[in-house]
Amino acid sequence: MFMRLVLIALFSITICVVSDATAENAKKRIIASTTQIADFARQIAGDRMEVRSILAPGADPHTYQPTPDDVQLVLEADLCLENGLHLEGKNWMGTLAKDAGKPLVTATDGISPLTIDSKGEKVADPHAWFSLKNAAVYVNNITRACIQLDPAAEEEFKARAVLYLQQLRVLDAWIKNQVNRIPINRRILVTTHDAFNYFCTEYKFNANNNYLSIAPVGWSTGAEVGGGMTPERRRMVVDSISSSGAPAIFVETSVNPKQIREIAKETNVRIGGELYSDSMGEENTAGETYIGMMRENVLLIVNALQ
Amino acid sequence: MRFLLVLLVWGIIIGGVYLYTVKRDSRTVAAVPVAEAVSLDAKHFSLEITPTFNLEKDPFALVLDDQQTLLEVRINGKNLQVDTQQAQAGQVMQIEHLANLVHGPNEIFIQAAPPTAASASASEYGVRIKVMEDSLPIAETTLWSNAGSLVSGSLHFTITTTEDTDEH
Repeated sequence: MFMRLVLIALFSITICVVSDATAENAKKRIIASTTQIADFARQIAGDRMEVRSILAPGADPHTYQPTPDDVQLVLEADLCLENGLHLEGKNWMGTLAKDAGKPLVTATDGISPLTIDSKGEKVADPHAWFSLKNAAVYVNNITRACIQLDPAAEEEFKARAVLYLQQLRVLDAWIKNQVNRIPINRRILVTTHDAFNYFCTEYKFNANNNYLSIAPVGWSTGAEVGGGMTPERRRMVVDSISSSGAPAIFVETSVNPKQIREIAKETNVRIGGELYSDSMGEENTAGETYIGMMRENVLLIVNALQ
Repeated sequence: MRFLLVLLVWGIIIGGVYLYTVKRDSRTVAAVPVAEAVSLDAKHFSLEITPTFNLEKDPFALVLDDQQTLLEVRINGKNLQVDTQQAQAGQVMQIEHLANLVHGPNEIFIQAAPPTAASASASEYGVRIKVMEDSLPIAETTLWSNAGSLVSGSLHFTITTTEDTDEH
């Protein structure tokens, strides 16, 4: 009799514990294409949702080839987030989400993209997160998506988003203040690939190039229109460095630095350091968050150019 | 008989575990009694708000319904709709017949977004707020921002009745 009672009690307690654990495991899951978008989503969702990024830190979104693990990851997602504007080469994130039948939100919706003229073809620049104002649009879009996914937590998401947007606002002012230390004639940003157009436009770099990036490789490191490296682009970069007297040029964490190192040698300028561009930094580095990545980039640029 | 006894014990155990989980999950703080909004009809309270900058759309605002509030004003936690169409730098916005004021301590919260374009040079922006009882100011302060932050803060003041004054 006593043993039976003990067994029943144990059974009941097990059911309670299991149901509690199931509730914990039932966290909604967001899968983002890039590290930046995953960071934005984490800032809004907090611990209420699980956020994962398909790209690892340092990976190149233009040339990325999804793996079977990525397919599995997206199959388990409740929501997929992509940058859009063709950042994800050959639309790999859109394809993954579509094949898995998962909802997909494009974080750049509502942004007015910069268009780059490439041999007569207009190409929208996908690196929109390099403008803090655009980053605020990403945050707004992701907040809307989170609320739609979990309406019960609307106030929580809104509160986190408002705080994060204020941090972006302060970061924007801080960047303007830091960049202001570089004399206007030395504000020349030469990088590995054409990722810094929004940054140059917002913070007034490269006046002689219509406040756009100067880079030997186009907006995409892949083979899309206007992407990749051409001899004309390389010549333009060398000429720009020679005529402007740029004191330093920069490599990027997610792109092969070979070209820019050769150009540095040829033009006799130093490498100013390694900028985070298409991807944020590894875990436990200063660039592991969007704010950290932007802060470290700016400090590196200001120290090298001022 | 044995079956009923087992059922009873089972019921007690399940009930106990259920009560434990319910109690555990609903640990709420006992509500603090809040002062009721007392009719202050006999008195006329107004609010003057003077920004040192033009109120513009904030590119860093959370806008979920295409409606952006340029100036957020809360009186004792309740939103106050303010017409900001004519709001310009240095111009006083007068809000008459303040609602939600109570006898005793009151709080007015203000938040506005200064322009971001000139953040590098013009680093300080402010909003002056003044609470008037009839034509006399009873509380005022200036809230400042710098380095890109929002102008945000609260004005605390106490509304006393004649009885309160007589007690002292």
